[in-house]
Amino acid sequence: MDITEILKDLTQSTGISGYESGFSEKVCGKLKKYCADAAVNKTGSVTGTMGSYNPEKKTVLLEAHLDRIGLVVSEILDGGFVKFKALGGVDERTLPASEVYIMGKEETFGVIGALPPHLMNGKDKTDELKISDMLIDTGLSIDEANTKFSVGDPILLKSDFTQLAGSLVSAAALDNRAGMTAVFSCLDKLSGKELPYNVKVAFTSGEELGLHGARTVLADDVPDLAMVVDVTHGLTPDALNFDTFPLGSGAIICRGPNLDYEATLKTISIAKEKSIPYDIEVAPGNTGTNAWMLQVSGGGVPCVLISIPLRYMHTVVETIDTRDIECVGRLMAEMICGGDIIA
Amino acid sequence: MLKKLTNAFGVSGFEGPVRDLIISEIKDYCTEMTVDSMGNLKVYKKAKKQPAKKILLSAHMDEVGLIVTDITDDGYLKFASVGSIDPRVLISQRVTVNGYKGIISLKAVHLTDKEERQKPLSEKNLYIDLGTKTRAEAEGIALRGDYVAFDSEYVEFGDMVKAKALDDRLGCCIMIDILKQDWDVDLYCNFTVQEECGLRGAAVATRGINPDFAIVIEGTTCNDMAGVPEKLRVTKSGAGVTISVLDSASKADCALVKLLLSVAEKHSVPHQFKASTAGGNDAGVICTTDGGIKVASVSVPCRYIHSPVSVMNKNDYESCKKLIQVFLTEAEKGFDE
Repeated sequence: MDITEILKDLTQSTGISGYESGFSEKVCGKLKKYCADAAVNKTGSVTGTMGSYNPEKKTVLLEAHLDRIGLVVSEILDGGFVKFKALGGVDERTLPASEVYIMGKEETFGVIGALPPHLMNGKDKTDELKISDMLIDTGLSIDEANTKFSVGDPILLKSDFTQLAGSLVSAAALDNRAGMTAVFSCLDKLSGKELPYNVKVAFTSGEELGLHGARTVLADDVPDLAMVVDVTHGLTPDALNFDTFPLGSGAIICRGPNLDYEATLKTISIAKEKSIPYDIEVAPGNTGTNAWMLQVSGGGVPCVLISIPLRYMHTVVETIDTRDIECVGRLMAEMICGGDIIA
Repeated sequence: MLKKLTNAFGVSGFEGPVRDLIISEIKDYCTEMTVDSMGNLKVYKKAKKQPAKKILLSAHMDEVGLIVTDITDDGYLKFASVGSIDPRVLISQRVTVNGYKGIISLKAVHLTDKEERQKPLSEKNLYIDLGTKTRAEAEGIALRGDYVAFDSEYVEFGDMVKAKALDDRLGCCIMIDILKQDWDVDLYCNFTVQEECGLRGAAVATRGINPDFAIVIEGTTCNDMAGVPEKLRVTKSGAGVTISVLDSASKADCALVKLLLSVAEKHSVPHQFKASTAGGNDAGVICTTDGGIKVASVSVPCRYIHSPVSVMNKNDYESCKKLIQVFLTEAEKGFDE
């Protein structure tokens, strides 16, 4: 399986939080290769089961959120300028001089402008740039703009998939298309094998808006263990190294009250035993991931959280090491094949 | 052609790729072509019949960009701006250095506190991430002093064009088209270097020409976005070629401005005045060359100038080119004086 190809395809697709329609169907199509019963639920999450469900076996859920952060049109002004709001935790410091596509009836290109240095007074140079002061320039008249899109339409932040040195790649939405790719990588390794557990998959909508999809994705059908895959902060020169993980660290396994104590220790020992690069992250409470919601779903779900280190989270230049995705996929496959991850 | 020109690499001090592109385009249309010691491309096209007026057109090839100042032990590049750039437009941009891609960013907003987020950014806080992990690996891609350009593709949308370096490849593009036509004026076209770091190239390129008139063709500031008060808009995108009377570097020659206005009106070329004196261009050094030259600037309004996403209206570009063309036509006739 070519991890970079899948990653490129997923990051160049839309699927903005709350507007996953279209992307969910695409993901469902991809999941059908491994899960014949793959389906999209009412809120845009995609679920499926590998092979045939055996009620005698315990069930493991592989979970990754499928939505990406974006913007939404809030007002259309004279001269085709567009005011907008954030969908999810967009880093507004990074927006000036960004390129966007407004996903209306017609896909419309635009740029987010910035005052040129020539026209700045002292205060302009130091002011914090606020999303409420920014505009998208569509180059259209207000009448043309109104025929192409309307208030409430989502806006995709444009980002080219960029190969950096070595095995590093940069693109928007690596949070969490990198996690989805790790799940696909795991499924690929499990494919055709007799497994000790039922394996279910959930690609969940609305995570960036407050873990919305995770609230509904399980319904009453809770697994015996959920393996949640997301991204965590990668080390950059301006960050503290105890907060973050160098890219290439492998699978980052999280410990804390949000996660099952025994299953997490077992995960660490499997990584050690199988010589899969890993590191340990600690969350003293809310992990900020779908594990927070899944843990208290139904009668409660034991969770493990495995993350991929990522630089510049919530920007259009999120950067990861593709080898870390492979590590996470391999670790999850070993956990399932080993047959003793569930107490 | 404008697409090729704006996509080409030409940060001030490293204009070679742009110059090569221009030379390949105009070599069959000029009488004489020289590249001087600074890298200015000086083109002369003799009038079809003599005597003729001597006109100098000038546009700069260089663009604002970055230069590598240091390489860190963990393989990142530190940089400084070449020309004036707001560091805030650099965050989360893609750049190219020696054909390799890099990105400029900051640690994730989640890892900052309120005070950090409100602190004004300077380029000192930023770095270029090439994906390299060691100094040696990064030095395989770039050395200190290597130039870095924005990685921003030319895009047409509506009547607009988005690109990097519209300032001043649009001027270069207009001069290329002008050179492809025959004129009854002795035409000098200077494609200059290093405008963005202090009008350096034009100071040298203009010497010894002694034209009757010089016209600088530029991209200029435009701040006509929704919500900006009328008096702060400087120029209006879509309202035509901009004629400057005064900027921070020069005052245009009154007689020449009057001529430009009268030919614009006679030939119905949409035009406007620049309503600000902010910014300066090569006219600032041309006007004091060789005992003084009559010079004026005509410009295309560019929103978000000096950023990776400058935006101009194609109709303004056409008006600018048309004004130069009708000015040369009238010059052939001696301006009906």
